[in-house]
Amino acid sequence: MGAAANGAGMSALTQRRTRAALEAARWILSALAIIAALVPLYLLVKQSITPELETFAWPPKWYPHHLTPAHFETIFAVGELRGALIRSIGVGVGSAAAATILGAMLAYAMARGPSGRKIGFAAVSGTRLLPMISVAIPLGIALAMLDLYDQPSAIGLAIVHCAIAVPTAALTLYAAFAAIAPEIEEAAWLDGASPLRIFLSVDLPMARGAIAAAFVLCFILSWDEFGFALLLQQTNRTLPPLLYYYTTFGNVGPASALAVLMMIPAVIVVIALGPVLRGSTLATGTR
Amino acid sequence: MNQASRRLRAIFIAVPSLTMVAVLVLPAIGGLRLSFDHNGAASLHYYREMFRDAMFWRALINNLILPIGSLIVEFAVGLGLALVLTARPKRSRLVEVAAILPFAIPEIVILTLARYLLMPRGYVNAALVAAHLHALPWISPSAWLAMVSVIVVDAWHVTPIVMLMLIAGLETIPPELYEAAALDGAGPIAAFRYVTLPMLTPAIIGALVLRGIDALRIFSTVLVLTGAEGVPVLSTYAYGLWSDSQLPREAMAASMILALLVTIIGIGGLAAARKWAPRQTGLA
Amino acid sequence: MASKVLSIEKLTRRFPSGGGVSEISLEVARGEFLVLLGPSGCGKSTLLRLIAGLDRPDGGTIEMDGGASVTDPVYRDRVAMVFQNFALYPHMSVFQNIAFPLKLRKVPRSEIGRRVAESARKAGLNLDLSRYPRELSGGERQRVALARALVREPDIILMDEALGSLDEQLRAGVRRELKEFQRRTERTFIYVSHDQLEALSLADRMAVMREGQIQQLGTPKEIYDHPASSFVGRFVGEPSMNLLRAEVDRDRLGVSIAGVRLALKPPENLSGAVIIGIRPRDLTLKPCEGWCAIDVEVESVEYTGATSVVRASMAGSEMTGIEVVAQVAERIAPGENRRFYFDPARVHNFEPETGKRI
Repeated sequence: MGAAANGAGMSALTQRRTRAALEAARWILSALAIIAALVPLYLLVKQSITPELETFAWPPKWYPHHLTPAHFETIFAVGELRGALIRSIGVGVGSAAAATILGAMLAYAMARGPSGRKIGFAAVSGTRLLPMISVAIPLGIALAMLDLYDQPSAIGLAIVHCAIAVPTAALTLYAAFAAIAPEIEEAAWLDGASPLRIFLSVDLPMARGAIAAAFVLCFILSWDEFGFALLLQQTNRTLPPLLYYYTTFGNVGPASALAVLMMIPAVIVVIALGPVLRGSTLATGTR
Repeated sequence: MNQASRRLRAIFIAVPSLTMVAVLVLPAIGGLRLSFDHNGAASLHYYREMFRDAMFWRALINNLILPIGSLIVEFAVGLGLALVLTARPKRSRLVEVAAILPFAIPEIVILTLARYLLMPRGYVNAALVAAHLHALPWISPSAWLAMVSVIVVDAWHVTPIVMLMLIAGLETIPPELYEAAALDGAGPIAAFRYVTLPMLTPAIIGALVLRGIDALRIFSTVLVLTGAEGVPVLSTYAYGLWSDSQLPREAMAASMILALLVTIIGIGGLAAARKWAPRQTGLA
Repeated sequence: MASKVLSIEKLTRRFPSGGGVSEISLEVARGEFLVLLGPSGCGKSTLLRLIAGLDRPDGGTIEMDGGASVTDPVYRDRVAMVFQNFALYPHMSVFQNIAFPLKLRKVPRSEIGRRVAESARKAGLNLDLSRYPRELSGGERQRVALARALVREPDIILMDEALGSLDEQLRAGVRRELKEFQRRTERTFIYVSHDQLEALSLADRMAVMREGQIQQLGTPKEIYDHPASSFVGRFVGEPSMNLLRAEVDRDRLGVSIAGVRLALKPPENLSGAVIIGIRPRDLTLKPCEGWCAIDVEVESVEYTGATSVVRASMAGSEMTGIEVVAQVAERIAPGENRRFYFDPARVHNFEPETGKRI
């Protein structure tokens, strides 16, 4: 039975009912999406600014009775958090900068030749097949031998975050480089520029918007990454393993405050960068 | 121009690729060697030991059930949201932001939150009791309910990605097709069945492959909600062996099984995607 | 001919997908405006890119006078190119665009300023040099591209359909300016075009190309008056030349077109068939002593102002649909039966097999 026969067989009344049902389903799903996003967030924020007693009460309090800045004061007073914050920012900036440079190189080679495109996509999808745990454990052993394991500077973690962010950077930049007309490069070559100079003086400045986006995405990738951070920085923690540590040890207040703190840059960036972010998300199916 | 720029391109491919290989692939190969090395001799010792461990088999089975469950939930909800958001020419900005929000929040924050919601004296149980229902052990180790919780929480975080991929697929369907179908007398359900679904199939396959590979590597959700051994999967099983029991070789053996699983399913999936959905996965 | 600036010897470049050039030899004189003209796919752009050094030949040589081959680094300094879309750097101001070649050559800052200003003046660029390409009109962008090409004082400036992206109204003016610019700067220009009118008006010499080869090289007048082949005859000149297949009469005193006899002396050493070419503007309605005549039935008339383009079919022939196009000043209506006259001296004869001029 074809579409036409199926549709024609339906009476006008049934069609109207179907539409009403679909409209209802649309409302319910929209409402669920909003509830699923906002209610938990509200509860998290509430926990971060109310005394722990309100959270541990039974039943727990649904809205704040007393407000307190204590949890934020606690996490800032504890040296561990300051260290983790600085470390997270350092790892994020360092790995994002390196990944953006390496990603730009890869994206450029991918955009400028069919063999580059093949090798690039192979590298990008190949490394995606490796489970974090299969890499992290032996890498931890290797870093220990190089004296880079669990360093206060988190240099080992920064190297890993750089490597896992290269595909994200490359896929974000690929379209930008592919969009640059070959004539511009040819003109630069005739003007006397070497291939490297063409890349630096023509392609990079022309793709600067995408480069900024790639840098921010790589930063967020590192900022959010949990697995490698947990395994490689067991004592000199960054923020995600620190939050895990707070949560498992039952410090609800500080954990909530820390979670709120971690969420802010990521949420701002993801909402603000929505359209740019989509490109790489759609290509990788991950962040 | 050609020769010099070809040399530059070769360098530009080599440096990032070698970095990724050195940081990600070489350790994995080293780990593979480690897992076969028993007192200096090549041996299947650690694998044999592992196959005798009931926990390993639970982890292996969970490592299939949880991703499949999670994929079902995230695709059902993701498709629903994608259809809701594209149903009207003007999108509801509130619904859109709300739908993307769980994806914007760091994974560990989502998991922390989920823990507070689902813990025995958490908000979900409080709501159940308030509605005169029974409180449930949402994340008690070993309970089947904990598996459902893990599936739902895992899907909660990644559904927006699926939704975005499907919206991208929906946007490629020319509106004339719907007009033609309407003129042919198709109601909304027939239009979905005969226009939307067939046109969306490549996007669904592409998204399924990419998400599937990622879902197999499930780690944090399980670890944060139930601990390493509550609802074990291969990653957390390996993590437990390494972190808690200090057995790196056993841990590597377990993680290699996972790597094998991901590689087999991944290569099969990528081949399928190359065939059915080359554009969606950038494999064209 | 003045001293030569560039010599091309047996240049060949083939592409797997077809096209390219084969065995082209060409000498370019210093200070001339050379136009490479041909339909798309004739190899004119390939030739230009080979001369620019953007592509490498499969065989043959390109040498600048003094012996610099296209593969030598010094060669690149001596050619500049203006691209069809101008290829201006969008992230640089007009000043930075023009200064870029100098910056790459580490020219001192003060000299850069002086040379950019001079080159902008020569290219007729009267605007604020701190503006960006996206803020400029097509004509202004063209001048920026010219100034950028000129600033490093190349021997040869290559242009790839560089007026193609301007609108019709602007083109005539820019064409005049370009010619003026070339005269003033005394540079050698090699210009690729598919527009025969543009070629005729710009070129000192032009090369008409087809299927990877140069069919004819000469001044516009030589090419228009003495096309070397039926292809050149038809490609250059608007409306296109009439090409009529004629049989040489046995008595060699005339030729016949599909049975219609013309008192036209056939070329020497030729029996059988000949292609005769007559330009539409060489057909008139006024009889003249010793001229040939053909009877036609007028089919359509396109009024173009001073003249009309008349499409007519030959009357009295054994075959139908032999079309003749004429350009006349008189008023004619479709359906009329008329007689066209032409000067036998203005008839071009071509070999039927090869299309070569006899």
